Amino acid sequence: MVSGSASRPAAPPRRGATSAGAPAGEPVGPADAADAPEPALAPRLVVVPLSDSFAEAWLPLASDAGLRLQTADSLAAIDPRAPVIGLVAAGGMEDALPAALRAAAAGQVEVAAVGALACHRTAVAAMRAGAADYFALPADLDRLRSWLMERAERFRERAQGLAFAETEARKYRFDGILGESPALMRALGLAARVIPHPNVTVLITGETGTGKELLARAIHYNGPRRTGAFVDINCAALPETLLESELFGHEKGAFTDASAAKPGLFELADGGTLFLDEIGHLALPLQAKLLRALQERQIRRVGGTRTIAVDVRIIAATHVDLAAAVRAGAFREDLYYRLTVVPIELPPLRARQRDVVVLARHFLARSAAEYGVPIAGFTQAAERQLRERDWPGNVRELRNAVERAVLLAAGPALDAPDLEPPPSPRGVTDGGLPFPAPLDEIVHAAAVRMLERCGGNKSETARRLGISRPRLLRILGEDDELPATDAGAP
Amino acid sequence: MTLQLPHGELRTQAAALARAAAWAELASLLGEHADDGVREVAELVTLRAESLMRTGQPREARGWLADTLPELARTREHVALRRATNLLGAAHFALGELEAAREAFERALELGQEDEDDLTVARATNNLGAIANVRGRREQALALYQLAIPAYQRLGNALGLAQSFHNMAITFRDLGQLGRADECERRAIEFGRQAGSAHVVALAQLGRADLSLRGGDAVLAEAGARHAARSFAELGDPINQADALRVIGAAVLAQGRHEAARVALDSALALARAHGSALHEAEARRGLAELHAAAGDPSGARAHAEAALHLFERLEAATEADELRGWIAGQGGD
Repeated sequence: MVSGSASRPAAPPRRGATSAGAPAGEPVGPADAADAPEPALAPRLVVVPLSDSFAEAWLPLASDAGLRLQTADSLAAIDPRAPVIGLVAAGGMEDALPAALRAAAAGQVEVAAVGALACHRTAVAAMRAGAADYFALPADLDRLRSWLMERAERFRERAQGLAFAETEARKYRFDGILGESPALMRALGLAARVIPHPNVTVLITGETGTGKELLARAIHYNGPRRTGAFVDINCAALPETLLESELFGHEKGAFTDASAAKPGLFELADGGTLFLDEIGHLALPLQAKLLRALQERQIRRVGGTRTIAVDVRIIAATHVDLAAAVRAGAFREDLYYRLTVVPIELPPLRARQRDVVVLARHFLARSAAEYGVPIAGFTQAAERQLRERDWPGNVRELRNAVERAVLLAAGPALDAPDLEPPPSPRGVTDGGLPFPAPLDEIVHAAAVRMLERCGGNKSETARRLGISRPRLLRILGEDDELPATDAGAP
Repeated sequence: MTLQLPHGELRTQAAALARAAAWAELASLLGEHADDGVREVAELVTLRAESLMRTGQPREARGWLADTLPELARTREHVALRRATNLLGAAHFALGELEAAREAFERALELGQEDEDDLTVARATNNLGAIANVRGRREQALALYQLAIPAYQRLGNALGLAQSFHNMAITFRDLGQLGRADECERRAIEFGRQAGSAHVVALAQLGRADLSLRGGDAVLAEAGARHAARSFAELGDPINQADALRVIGAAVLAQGRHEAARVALDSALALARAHGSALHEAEARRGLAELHAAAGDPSGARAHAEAALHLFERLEAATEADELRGWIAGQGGD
């Protein structure tokens, strides 16, 4: 089959194949399979020569693009998994190009035609026969070189993308999730069962900071979709109109700012996983659109008319009680049942007391390495405090506390005082809230201040405050016409 | 028939200089041959533009690209055309021509999508996000960064991911969503490490220090910013070192340590001025204004604040200028 060898004479073969590639200078010569040194899937330029014209061009072209060169009678026998660019070269034999292209291309490999005639009819005939482009040498030599370099770059990008997915998979190894408490084990057991089924929708619930996104990534990177993209979006981070275009894309001119068409996250996640965090914040109209996408496995861009098929696993997550939101009419029941095919509840850290120290040691080692601080571990008093604290912010709070202690520590081990909580956090405000004051007065002032910042837009205000619109209206004392039930947000 | 690429020797020399990141020499070489070969070779057209950008000549890059882009389009040199269009956007952006930059990046995005070029799509989307952020359209910026991320993921481009997450963190920070901003900085650090970019890691660490300060934890902010300042000093990046010193100044000021704040902010100002960064100079002066106000020196505070305001206005940083105007008014001036 293939392979080049420096010890063999250079001669354009008519039978079999030759191969050579970067580094430049390796001569092309006939060879057999016995001394094939190249990996089967190394990116190659395979030339099918119909004449001897331009033979001296192939090796420099392949070398410049970082491709191995191989000549062959046909592309039909090429391993379809291999990254191969094909050229059918016919200097002086242009009439034979269409037939050779039809025989060679077979739809598996991107192939271009090369000839000596700068003639529109030849180019059209070649492209009708399956060529991606036609290059008339010598005039188009530069363009052919660019064409090859671009395709070679795509191969490299694809290989780099696969290597990246492997790295991510190692980071999110399922057995790398720390902890052994029964509540966590139950959740992980469920997740393990769903991993091999690439189309099963998953709903992860749990308090803020319990690791919902980490579990979603572990499901993706340990499953059959691991080489596809993991695309995550926080449904509370964007206003409704932007979120719609973000999820489903838009066509040019769909709205004032849509000066170009853009794909949405569904399209970008094709073949992979779309993680919809804080799904409880999704507005009702968008819930309907999401439901259609889940049922039909196709989407329509905003302002578009054609449907686009998408192959995506949906993992949704929420810290709110979606069942209560359904009862309150803030969340569609049909979507709720679509999402809860496999519900996984992550336990709060207070239900995983025995995991706290294990997790804390892990965070300590990581932070100490990151900041180059020589801290060996925790004192016994520190470990006791770690176990006894309530950690309302869950694993995220624990991680932040340990990181802070590492960065500020003076001694070789972290002691209990090092883990004292930081000063009360304050948000960025335009002015102070009333304090000290009754709680409902502070809450009301916060709502009014945010409403001002949002220009009087109540939906936006509710979203930014992380509460439902009905709850906001109640806080503002404007809830007369609304049902009294909370939509479920905290 | 002899097949030779035109201007082979010039290409070889230019490629070697680009590989060695010898941008000044490359700009000079290609400048000498601008009308004598460079124009005829698409890859040299973009290399000249890149060398001009990298040597701080965005005006020349813009002129060169405006002149040569039509020919690239006419000759169907898609790769060069996409790259040149994105570079044109970068040149406009550097010159503060935001609308022209947006148009160029939109065009690059369109070309990238047509040719399924993920890298151009990711870069152009990220750049459009930066424009939206500068214009104060924070949520649109977030939406754009979010679209760039899957493209960088597919490419396995950890550096692009780190930059996008860092940009997202800045936008979340400006929206007051400090928790989300911090998570994004963490991801930026993770991918920055993966890409081997100590620079992006330091930027994200400084971002986290700034977030700690805004969250009210001045002690942690000081420790984080000091760590970042050391990193920037080691990396030989005085501009970002100035920024880290500014955060240190603000953090120690919040702890009531006025003298330490003055030392840090004076150093930040000196570095920013020495290296011609108007933005960092403005921010250092804003910090000094706060220091003088806290120290009971309203005239000193006003002088620094007005100098900072003048710089922000010159930079068309409307949000910062508005906030500073509000601050000056709140200090009881006229």
